[in-house]
Amino acid sequence: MLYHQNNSRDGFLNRKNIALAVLIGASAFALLYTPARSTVTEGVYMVATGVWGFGGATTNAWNSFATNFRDKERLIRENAMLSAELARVEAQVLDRNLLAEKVTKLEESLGRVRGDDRVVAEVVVDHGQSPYDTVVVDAGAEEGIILGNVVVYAGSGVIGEIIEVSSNSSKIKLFSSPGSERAVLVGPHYVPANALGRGMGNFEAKVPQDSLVAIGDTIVSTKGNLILGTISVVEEKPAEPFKRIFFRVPFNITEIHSVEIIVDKRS
Amino acid sequence: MTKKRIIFTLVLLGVVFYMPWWAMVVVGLVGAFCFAPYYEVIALGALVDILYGAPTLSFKGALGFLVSIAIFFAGVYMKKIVR
Repeated sequence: MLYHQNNSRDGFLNRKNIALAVLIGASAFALLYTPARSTVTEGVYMVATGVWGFGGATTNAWNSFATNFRDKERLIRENAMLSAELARVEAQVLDRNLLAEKVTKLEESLGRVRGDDRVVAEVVVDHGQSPYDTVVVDAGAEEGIILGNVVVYAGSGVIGEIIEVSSNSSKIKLFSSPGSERAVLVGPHYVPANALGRGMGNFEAKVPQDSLVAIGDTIVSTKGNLILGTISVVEEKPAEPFKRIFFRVPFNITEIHSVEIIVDKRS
Repeated sequence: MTKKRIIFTLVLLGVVFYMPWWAMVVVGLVGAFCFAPYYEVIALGALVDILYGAPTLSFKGALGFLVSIAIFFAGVYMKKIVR
């Protein structure tokens, strides 16, 4: 007697294809259905922050170890250069603090007292790792952070806003991300313009041809008067109705290790 | 072969957490070719979106997932060609 085995391995509905369909379906559900995504994100981040912390500690330990093998003379020169730079920056900060004090006193005398609450957060993942040009920090809902909070660096340089919040971490979308647009005010005459992100802290904007803008002029956000960058290039062609200005953040965006998140603006 | 697959997947997991996004694509392609059909790359693509994306971003924050599906089928196709 012959028994014919119904071998459906070559059919479309075999176990492998069913497993693939289930995997794709489950992943799509977890990503596209917002409540599911929030729950999964919360769970993943309970582990992820620990994993990144372990990686950071390992890198620091390796760097400490590797220092022993670096050329001593080079280290001495580097130390001297960094000390000089630190002294220069400290003087600039002191000058800026004095200026900020004067502005605050002036505003108080005019009856316009402004202030904000800021949360300092360490950068856990920088934008180079993310395919979305996002930054992950180690402060979240427990510190009072909510969606849309603005993120600044070095006191007043705005770099982005919060786009996702977990209990103990948040994701920041950089304003300079390629394709992102932002309304800004350019120069001492506050010329309104739309800044287009070009990545790595760089922006591009167009202003009317007769606008009085120059290299070195500051660009600020429309809300909060926070500094977005300074103009580095002005491209003007008399035949065109606009000038193109290129500006960038006044610091190296790849070397940001901590940021401030404005959680409450009192005005 | 299973042991190699597990080790490779752990390496890819490490790449997801510690390396730039383009390294994930390269290593994912290698895995998809060597271990086709490499289902793990789809799960790790979704993990990338959970770790670094958000629903308000482009492709509803599912770019990693979509790219990982493409990598999966690219691996299956490349394996068929090589055979």
